[in-house]
Amino acid sequence: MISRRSNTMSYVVLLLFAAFAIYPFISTTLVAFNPPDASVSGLAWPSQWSLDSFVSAWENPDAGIGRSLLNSVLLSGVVVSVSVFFSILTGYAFGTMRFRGSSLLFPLFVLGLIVPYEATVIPLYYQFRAFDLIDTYWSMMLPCIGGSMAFGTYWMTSFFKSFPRELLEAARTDGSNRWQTLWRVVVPTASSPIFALATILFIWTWNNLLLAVVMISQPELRMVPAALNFFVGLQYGSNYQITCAAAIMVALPVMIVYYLLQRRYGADVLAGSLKG
Amino acid sequence: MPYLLILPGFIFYALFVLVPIADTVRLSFLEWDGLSPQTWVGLDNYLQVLTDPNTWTSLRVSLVFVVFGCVLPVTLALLLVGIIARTRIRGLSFFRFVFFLPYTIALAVVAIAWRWLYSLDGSLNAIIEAVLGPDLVRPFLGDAGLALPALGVVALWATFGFVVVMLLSGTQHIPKELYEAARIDGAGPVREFFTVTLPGIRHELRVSLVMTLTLSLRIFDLPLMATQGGPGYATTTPSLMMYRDVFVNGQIGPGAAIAVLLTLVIFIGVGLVNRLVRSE
Repeated sequence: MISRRSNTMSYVVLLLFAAFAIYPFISTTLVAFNPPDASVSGLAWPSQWSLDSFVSAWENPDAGIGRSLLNSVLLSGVVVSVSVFFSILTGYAFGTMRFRGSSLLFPLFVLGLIVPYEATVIPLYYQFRAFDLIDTYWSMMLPCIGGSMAFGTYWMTSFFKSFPRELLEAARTDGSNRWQTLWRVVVPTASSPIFALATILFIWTWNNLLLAVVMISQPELRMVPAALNFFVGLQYGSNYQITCAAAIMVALPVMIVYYLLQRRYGADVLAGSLKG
Repeated sequence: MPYLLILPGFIFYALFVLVPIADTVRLSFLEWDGLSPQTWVGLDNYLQVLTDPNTWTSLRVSLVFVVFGCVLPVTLALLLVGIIARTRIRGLSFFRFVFFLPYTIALAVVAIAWRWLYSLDGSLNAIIEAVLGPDLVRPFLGDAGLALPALGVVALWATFGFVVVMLLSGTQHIPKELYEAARIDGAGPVREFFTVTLPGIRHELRVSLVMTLTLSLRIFDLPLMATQGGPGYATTTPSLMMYRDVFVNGQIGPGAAIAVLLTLVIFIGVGLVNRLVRSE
């Protein structure tokens, strides 16, 4: 029997962990709503609520938050759409077809899951420099797409493996070839895993700091994590308000995307469909 | 046909992951400043890196991050899952959303939020002062002894929810009859956890161990943005050392050697996890 006491204990434990998870968000938000010239300390409950810190973070011409948000949206948009498209193709091949070399190629892709960007960033930087591509969008986009292929392939393959064979057979007897089957039969039913993959790749691309600080030095091309790095470099102990306001503006797009996704598919769609 | 489908993805993967890895290994045997001609120096870079005490410090820092970013969150998540797996929780999707939120945030943002929490006049010190008195107020990230565990707690905060969500999704595949059978056998909560829950979520456990282990070993954003690796070398991770060697000091060979060694450590770690937690 489940006693009422153990049920209460579950809730107490859950609430404690939830408080731990949410506390930094509240604290950062409170600081950011203080005006930039106020002296903040302690819990930093604003004596007057103000959006001025957001405004000055936004308007700082050297940080260029607005421009870097645009850069990051553009980068993530391209990286996510290209990677998802390619991953659907590789996943379809590995998941539904048998061919020579697949038992070798697939593990090669999976290996990429644990290869850190640290292992590739040095030669990438010097190669791009040789082609004069440092400080261009290419130097971010190409490595991010390459780096997304391991996870994308792994993810889509596990989806296609679980796709009912009969439907594929049925489509084939209806006279459609494999390419048509993919786009008319399979993809329309795969919106959930495809959407989840897009979200994960979006989070990873948006948050990538190492590539952003190595490949881009021109302020106009900076991605958002690097723009944040600029604020951190500026302040030491002073003006937490503006830095926190900038941090919130950078985090908000990702939080919104995640919120919409979990409203539609449930929170564990990100982690829950991981198989293999 | 299958080859045509794989081709575009494979080209990107090969050009921007596989080839650069091989190239990093090549660079680790060279002396090069990025401009002048490259000279082959054999194992000299590895010798230099392995005899540098800072390398071993950074490895120790890494291991502390593994404890805080991988071992602790997985242990705590197992505990939490063990407690709630046998009860029906209302509002579970709300808790899942809240727990997972930290994982979606860039570590750069996380670093800023926690810098404020940990600062001398920040909110954590305000709470400590109110509850425990002013003697225990500290500038956490400026203290050589406290900075690393303080950043460790941040890593725990960032990964914990991810592990919980993973493990919870695993418990949902466990047939309820197994729990009933265990209870009829007179199993208590502890035995129930080890005979029903834990075997049922072995796969999810393995995946979360691999992902958090990799993240902890290569952690870069958090120390760079929160402490710049300091005070001294107290929070300098191998990734940060590599970054400084190559992109600040122009020491490409030693930096590449660190990158190779770090990748090897990650591979070995993942191999150990896979041996430890077999899926089937």
